[in-house]
Amino acid sequence: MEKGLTETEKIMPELDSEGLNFKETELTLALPGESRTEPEIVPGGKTGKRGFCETADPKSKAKFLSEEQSESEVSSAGNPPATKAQVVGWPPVRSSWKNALAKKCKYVKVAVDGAPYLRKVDLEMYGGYQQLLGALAELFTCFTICNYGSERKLVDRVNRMEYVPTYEDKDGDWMLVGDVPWKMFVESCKRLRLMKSSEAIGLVVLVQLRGPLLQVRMQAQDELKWESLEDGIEACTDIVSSSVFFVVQVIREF
Amino acid sequence: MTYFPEEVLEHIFDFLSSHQDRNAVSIVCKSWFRVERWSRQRVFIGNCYAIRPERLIARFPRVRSLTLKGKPHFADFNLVPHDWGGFVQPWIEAMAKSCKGLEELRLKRMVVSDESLELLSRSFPNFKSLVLVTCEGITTTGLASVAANCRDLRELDLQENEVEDSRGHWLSCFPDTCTSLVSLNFACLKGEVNLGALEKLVARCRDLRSLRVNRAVPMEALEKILARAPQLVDLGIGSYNHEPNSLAYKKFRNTILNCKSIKSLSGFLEVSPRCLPAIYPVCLSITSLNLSYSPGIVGSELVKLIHHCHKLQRLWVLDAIGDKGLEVVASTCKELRELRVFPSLFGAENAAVTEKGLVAISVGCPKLHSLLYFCHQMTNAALITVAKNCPHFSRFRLCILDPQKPDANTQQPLDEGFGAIVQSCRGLRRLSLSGLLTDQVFLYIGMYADQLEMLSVAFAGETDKGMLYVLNGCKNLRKLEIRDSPFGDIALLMDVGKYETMRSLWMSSCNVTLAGCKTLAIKMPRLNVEIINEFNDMELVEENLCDNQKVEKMYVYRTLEGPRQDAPDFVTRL
Repeated sequence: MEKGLTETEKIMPELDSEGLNFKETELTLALPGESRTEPEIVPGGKTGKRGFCETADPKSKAKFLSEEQSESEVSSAGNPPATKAQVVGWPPVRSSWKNALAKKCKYVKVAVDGAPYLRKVDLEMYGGYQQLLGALAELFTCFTICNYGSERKLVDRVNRMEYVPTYEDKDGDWMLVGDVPWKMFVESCKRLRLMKSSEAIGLVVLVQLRGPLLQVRMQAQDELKWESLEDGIEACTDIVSSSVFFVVQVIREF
Repeated sequence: MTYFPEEVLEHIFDFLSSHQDRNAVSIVCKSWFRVERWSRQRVFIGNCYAIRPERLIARFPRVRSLTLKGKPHFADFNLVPHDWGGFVQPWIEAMAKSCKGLEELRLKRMVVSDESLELLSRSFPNFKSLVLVTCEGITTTGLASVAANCRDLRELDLQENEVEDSRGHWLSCFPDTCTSLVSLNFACLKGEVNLGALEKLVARCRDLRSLRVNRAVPMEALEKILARAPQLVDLGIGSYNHEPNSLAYKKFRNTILNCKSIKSLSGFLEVSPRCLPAIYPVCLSITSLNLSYSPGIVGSELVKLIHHCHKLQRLWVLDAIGDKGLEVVASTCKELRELRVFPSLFGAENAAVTEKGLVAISVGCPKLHSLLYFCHQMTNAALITVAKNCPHFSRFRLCILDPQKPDANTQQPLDEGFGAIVQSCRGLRRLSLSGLLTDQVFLYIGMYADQLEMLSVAFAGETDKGMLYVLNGCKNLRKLEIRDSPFGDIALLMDVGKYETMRSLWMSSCNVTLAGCKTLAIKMPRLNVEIINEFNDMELVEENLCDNQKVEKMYVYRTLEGPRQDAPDFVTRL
């Protein structure tokens, strides 16, 4: 299906929700113990998509009932479709235990510029940015992580192309991964995109700006000193004068 | 001995700790009966409907510790409707009237309302210990009454209960004078916790040995708590979630080094696996490790952790450990006595454990005597090897996740494998079967498992003979639970006297008919025969009374009290 897409659509598949049958990329994995009886279990309800955990993390593979199950049920020919999942009380594990394990997950899609497929990761599985980045590098095996000071990039080992992890936040803005505390990021992140460095320049500038600004904001809140805020704004405007608009926006939040 | 004065007899009886011994003593003669009656302090009642509380109090007026069980065991797996019964309220009411000396109450699968806990907390001035296991109806309001009113509380142990969070800050209801806690377990609670109150409580309870906290307690808070309670022996960790280079983690790593008494670790409900190295030093001395609630730890990290646990006697773990991980357990944990491997629910084949892991364990851990093992496949050859290597099993529960899955190598039934287990493990008291099984396995069980007390059967057997082998053979059988197996009225009615020697019989989705159940009820008036019919209403059941319609769920238990009065509509008492 990707064949008919233009270059930009390939790069930003999420921009084109029409052409890229969005349903296909929807998250279809259910939480253990929840909505398990939904049609997913029906053989053929398999999406064909594989979540990250299934591919890179053998352990948590286990959490995904629906896909694996539909497979095994299809394969056990002769049996009525109502086998294990639909047998109440089987396997015999305490329901309280099951419920306790049904922890919250937050799946987001990961796109890589130029790659014709998406992956999914469960943000709740990671404790911080470094872990997530490690996972991304593992997920798309062509990458290694490079740290440039505080900024982290993924580098394609073959063509030395640099990629910057970015995300769409809950306001629909594209931001650089790492700009806010981890927990805030997990809450806010709607999707991830590994953007080619060359295309992320504008974003990087914005984020370079956002870092000091956040600091300024926190400082200002802590000390209630407008002078420091003004200092901060000056510093920011030094970084890029063209981003005054953004600065103004941040100031409005106060 | 008959000439001893009663005081002396009583003193001697005090040395008898097992209920069975005391039961035996009490039927020797009238004098012994009397002495035993007045000195019995601990009572165990395996079925709260087998006897009325008034009768218990009349029989043992000085009971201090009471253990009660409610719903049938299969309730754990959602086979018993939620409001089936098992209320503790009448027990507490009765004890509150005439048994003020109650100090300890242990409840399993019972309904524990706020009202019950409130009454409990105000009725027994010396109350010390409340243990609730898989109970329902509890809310934090009830817990708050216990915290506020039980002044000498030593133990509050909440294991796998459904607790509704109706009011936060129940922990802050422990008065400042409460310094007596020895054990506090609230790992199953979902809601927020007043961390400040918890820290202060722990700090003033100098005898606290066991503390298991819930998900709401983060690493920072636990660090502060551990700094106040280095004497802890049993620690249940809540959220173990941090960056390994964070300050909080580093502090935790230093603090836990001072907790040199820790013998048991559990929890890790949320976990950053890269923080696990902090507990490696603790692992060197622990004997019990429960990671069955930590799906966040992947196989390789489990293995790294296990490498440090040389003294482990009890291990509960998810099957993410894999066969390879179990091999590490086998070579590291030479003292292992109890192993439980739980399924990471609904996994793919290569994420799980198989017969290979079990065989490895049996080779490396000869002291193993209790097993619960969820796996994807099993073979007869493996079971025969296991039986040979570990003849000391007292509990052997094997669950092959696909019902009726045959031997993975030969496609044969697993009769011979389970047969080998019962034949070589002569002390076996509890057995759960799974996989493809014919009547043959029941022949073996009936023939060899003479110490067997509890048998769980699912998707097994071919004819009534299977069940009859068990009923005829297993002389010590107390609980038999069967589901989805083709046993019918013939098996049920062949030896109805047997059920009076047993605590209970559960049969669901078998071939037993309503007529069969009725016959059983008529023949055996001291048995309660209950039918659970969730979907039809009562009239429909009544109409079908003469039918040979199969009964969906039947629960039979012996009782001194006749049909229970608190049965809900979907329970028909015959």
